[in-house]
Amino acid sequence: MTPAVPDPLDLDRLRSEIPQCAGIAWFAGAPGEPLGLVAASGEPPATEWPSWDAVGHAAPALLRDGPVVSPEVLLLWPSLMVLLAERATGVVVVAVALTKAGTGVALVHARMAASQVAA
Amino acid sequence: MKLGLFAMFARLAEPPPPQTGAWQIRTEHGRDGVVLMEAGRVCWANHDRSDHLSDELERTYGISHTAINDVVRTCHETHRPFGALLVEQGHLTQPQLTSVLGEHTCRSLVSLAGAGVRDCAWVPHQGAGYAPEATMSLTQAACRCVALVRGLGAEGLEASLETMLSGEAAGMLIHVSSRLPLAASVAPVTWPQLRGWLTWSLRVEGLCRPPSRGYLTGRGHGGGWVMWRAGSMLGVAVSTTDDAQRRLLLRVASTVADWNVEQPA
Repeated sequence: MTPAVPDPLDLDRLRSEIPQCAGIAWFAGAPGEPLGLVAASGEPPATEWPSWDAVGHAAPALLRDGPVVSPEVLLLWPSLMVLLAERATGVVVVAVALTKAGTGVALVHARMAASQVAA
Repeated sequence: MKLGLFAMFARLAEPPPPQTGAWQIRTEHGRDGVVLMEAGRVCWANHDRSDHLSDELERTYGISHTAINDVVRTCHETHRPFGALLVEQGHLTQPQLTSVLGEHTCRSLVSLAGAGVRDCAWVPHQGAGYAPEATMSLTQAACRCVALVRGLGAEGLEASLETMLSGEAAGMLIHVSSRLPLAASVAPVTWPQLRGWLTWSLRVEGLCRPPSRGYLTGRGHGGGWVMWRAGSMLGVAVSTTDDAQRRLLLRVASTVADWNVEQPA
């Protein structure tokens, strides 16, 4: 069965529904294979943000090759939180702008968005 | 073939069980060095061409050679350990003794590597062991040697690392520009782990370059990891339980903005 590809419009809708969501993207690729960007909505404006492609390149190393294999990885930058979550057919990446509400709230929002993509 | 510092440590990392004994080190100048290990931990190293411990004691703590000779004589008469007598007689505190022994050991290891290590031969201890005053893991020794060569304070770097690890997570500090490990944790890190974590951390750093005072974290089944950055220093920590991972993450998150670590030139 061909895995479902998130509709870009769905990602747009999802991004608009999640507070402070600066971007959301779906990368496809089975474990052991390189990830390719399939769909994305938005792009964080933060100066420290590399690019969707760069995050996609880093994702397998972060999720699968570290000291502990981690189905979920967080990148905490001064003004941005990026959540990477492994799915059976790829990786969802959610970027949420950090506010005074703190990282806990940002994490809840990021997880909420990620849970709606290919879960 | 002559072994460099890291190749020498890779060789020293594999003593046969129970890993208590002496590595006799042959350099290009002959059999002239020794590294003593207790249960796989480095407890002493010496090299004919390196400074004598007595010189370091005098230079660092102002203990005269006369006083040292008196302590040595008492050692021979009472069969008590040299270090314990130095502390007992008030010449040093226990932390100072630990520090100077570690410093001497690392200076000797650097000196051995500099002399060109040709061969390492293992001689198992025939008794119960050396009962050393202080030991360090092989990875701590390796990182302290690197820090020494780079002119950095190894103890300060380890203290900065432990601010994050608090003794319950294993980890290391890496200088990004030189790609060298500068400190290893009190919690044991094996030689293969050190090499593996170093390679992986530098790969991740190259791929997504975490900004200074930022951090990355992953959680898996039973533990996880955290990587943080301050200036040109990268920290990596690995925990083995969910609770330890939660505490580790909390410490890094609340500390990273103000974390103090010596920055190499």
